[in-house]
Amino acid sequence: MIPALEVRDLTRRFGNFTAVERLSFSVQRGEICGFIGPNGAGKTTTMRICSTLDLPDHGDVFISGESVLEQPRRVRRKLGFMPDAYGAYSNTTVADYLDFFARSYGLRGEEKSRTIARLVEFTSLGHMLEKLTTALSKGMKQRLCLAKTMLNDPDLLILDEPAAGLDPRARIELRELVKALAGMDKAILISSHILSELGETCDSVVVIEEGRLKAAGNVSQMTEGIQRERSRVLLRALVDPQALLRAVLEEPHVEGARVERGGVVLDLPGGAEGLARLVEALVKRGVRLTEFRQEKLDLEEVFLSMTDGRVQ
Amino acid sequence: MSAASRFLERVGNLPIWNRIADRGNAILVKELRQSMRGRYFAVIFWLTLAIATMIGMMTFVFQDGGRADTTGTAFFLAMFGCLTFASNLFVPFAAFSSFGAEWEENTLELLLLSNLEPRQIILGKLLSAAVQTLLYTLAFGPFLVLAFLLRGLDLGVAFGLLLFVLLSSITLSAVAVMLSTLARHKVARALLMALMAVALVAFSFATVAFGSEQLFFSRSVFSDRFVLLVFLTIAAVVVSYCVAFGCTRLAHPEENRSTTLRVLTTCCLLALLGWAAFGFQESGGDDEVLYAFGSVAFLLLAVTSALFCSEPERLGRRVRLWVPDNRLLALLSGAFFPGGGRGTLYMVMNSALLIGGFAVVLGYAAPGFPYDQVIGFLLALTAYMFVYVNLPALLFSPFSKKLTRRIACRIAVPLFAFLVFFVPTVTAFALDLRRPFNHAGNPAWAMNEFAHGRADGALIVGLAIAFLVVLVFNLPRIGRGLGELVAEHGRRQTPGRTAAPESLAVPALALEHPEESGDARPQP
Ligand SMILES: Nc1ncnc2c1ncn2[C@@H]1O[C@H](COP(=O)(O)OP(=O)(O)O)[C@@H](O)[C@H]1O
Ligand SMILES: [Mg+2]
Repeated sequence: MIPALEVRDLTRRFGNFTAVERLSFSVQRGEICGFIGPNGAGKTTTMRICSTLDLPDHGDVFISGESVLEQPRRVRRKLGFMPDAYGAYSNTTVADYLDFFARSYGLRGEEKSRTIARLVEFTSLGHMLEKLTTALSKGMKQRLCLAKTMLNDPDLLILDEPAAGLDPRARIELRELVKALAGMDKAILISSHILSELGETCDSVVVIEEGRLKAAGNVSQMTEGIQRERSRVLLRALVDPQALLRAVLEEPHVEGARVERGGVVLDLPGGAEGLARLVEALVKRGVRLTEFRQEKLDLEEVFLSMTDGRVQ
Repeated sequence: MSAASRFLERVGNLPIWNRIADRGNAILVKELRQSMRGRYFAVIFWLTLAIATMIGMMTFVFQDGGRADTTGTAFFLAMFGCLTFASNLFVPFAAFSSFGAEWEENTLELLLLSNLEPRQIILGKLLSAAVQTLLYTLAFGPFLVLAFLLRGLDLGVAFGLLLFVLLSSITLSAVAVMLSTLARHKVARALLMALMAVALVAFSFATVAFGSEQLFFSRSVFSDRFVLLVFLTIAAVVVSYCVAFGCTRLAHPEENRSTTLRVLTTCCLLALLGWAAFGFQESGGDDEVLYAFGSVAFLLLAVTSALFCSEPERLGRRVRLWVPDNRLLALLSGAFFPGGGRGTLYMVMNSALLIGGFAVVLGYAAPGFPYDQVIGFLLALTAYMFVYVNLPALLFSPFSKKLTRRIACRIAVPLFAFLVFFVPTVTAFALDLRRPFNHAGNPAWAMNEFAHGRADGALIVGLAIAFLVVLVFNLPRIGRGLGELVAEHGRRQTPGRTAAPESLAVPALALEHPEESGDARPQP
């Protein structure tokens, strides 16, 4: 299957500074791909190249198999880009704004009204139509911008930090919208410098740092991969947690042990073998364990372990 | 006030507009809606009308209640003045700031993403300025009719003036839009805005002065049937250049930002040649016409070539796709592709075109005419312009990838021309020579010598050597420019140009499936 988005060996320099270096990844239709990296990692630069707005010094990007370098006009028809800076017009209502962009996408007459009505319903902007675009809240602006981005019914949506500055409620609404879009078989590339914003939403993640790919792949597979090397365990015993903690700290290899939820949580390298050894040691010490539970590492930890902690 | 703007808004929302708007330019529709809803246009509109009414009444009173012979003229002048300020000051200003808002709000890229062409965006802005001017003119209609009904107004002059104001309004709006495409940054925009305000106020006052002179003195420029045609031509040329130049500013540096301007310039040169031929014939073989048109044509060529010759040498990545597959065609069209070396080629080719064209005009229109003077004049002009433009271009060409260096090069061209004139002149003054201005660095003097057939051998040889030296040193640039076009053909023939790179730099942690990261791209 041709990927909806394929970034191939992408390099972009600004003078002597390399913002993106030999970056490659791809996103399939129906997939939500989180594009994650600290500020200045090169996310916006990559996304602008994917959207034909900037050009790479080396490499290329293919949208459904068509090159952004060679076919910018055809690519633009299949693509929706939502930049991090929201563009409002003075003296323009929400209805006028959508109407104008629909016209610029070449929609006319009946088709235009139908498309706008559908998108207004999708983004629940119905009660906002007569408001001025400059007077909207951040969440509303984001929704309007999303509606605008979808006017040409794109196969691929590129959203640059859409959750930035949203309150928790608007963030959840946005997440629902994004999921609904993926359900419509669209490919979505969504960037953030905060992983927890995207954690549960994404099918896959691409992690970059200083313009270079750190990791890419399926979220659950990545978590499993990490777990194979490092486990997090919750222990409960008949002694009080502080005593248990002291006992645990006697063991070598144990990392980050702390009292939590009436027990002790700790990290342990070395997979199943390491776990077995820990249990053995504790029992030998006479600790009477009542609970031994392996916890799932969340994406945040996966991410931290990859980027040397240089994430905000 | 609010009732008036509500009325305008109501009119703007009639369903008929929707149907008309569906055929029109999207930007135009948006701009008109915005200005109907906004305060700026409405305030200026009604204020202008109020002031016009007041001034009109005052004129009426001062002109003995309409009994004086000049009532019509004075009344018209008052209305003309108000219309001038509305359409030549406020309309271009609005056009400038409406484009500035697109920069400010980051909406320009949204427009480009929607596949609107830069041309459509700029024309949309220009059209909305034109519609505003039209609205002003319509609003002044009743006043103007009243002026026509009063005594003493020369209708020919009045219509000429109205047409002049409309033309200048469009032209100034085009200039304003072009300037605003240059001003990405807030500071630059504020600076340009201040400059523009001064220039536009001055121009409006000058126009009113011109109008009163035309109205009150019987011999008017509009009695000549060509005058309006000349105005029209100048307006058309300025508007075309502004639109074309503005479009190039909106395009990405890797896109083609030159071909339109090059084609437009060649078209203008051909038009000038046509005008020269026509003027030469009309004037009964007056060679002054040829000197005048020749000078204008070469000046235009030099100014535009200063832009072309200082472009980055290499083809942008989106320009390469334009290169024809046929090698011969690629070579022939070479001068019209962006790039400094190809710009130099462009200048050479168009100079040849002009000289050849003038030779044909002379040979055809006046077979017995001694045209070695005219041709000598044009050849010398070519040499001057070529050296002025291409010596700086040659020196700056290794650095032409940087925008600041390109701008430096474009400033260096007139600076160089000035220094070549200034240094020998000052030296001559210092040495107390008899005619300090008569030297080869002063093109005005040299051209005059050529026009009168007095150019001496040293001047001719010196110019020829300067021209040839600069040309020879520029040949490698031209060669590289053409070579790149030809090589493009070869590059396309090489298979695997878009093949996947050898190694996908995916670190070990990545669990991406190999078939996803591979080259699954089908060749179209
Ligand atoms: N137009 C530009 N000129 C120079 N440097 C730039 C430009 N755009 C981005 N950069 C640099 O490239 C790096 C990556 O920027 P960006 O892609 O915006 O990062 P992110 O979106 O991941 O925060 C930054 O260090 C930034 O300073
Ligand atoms: Mg960014």
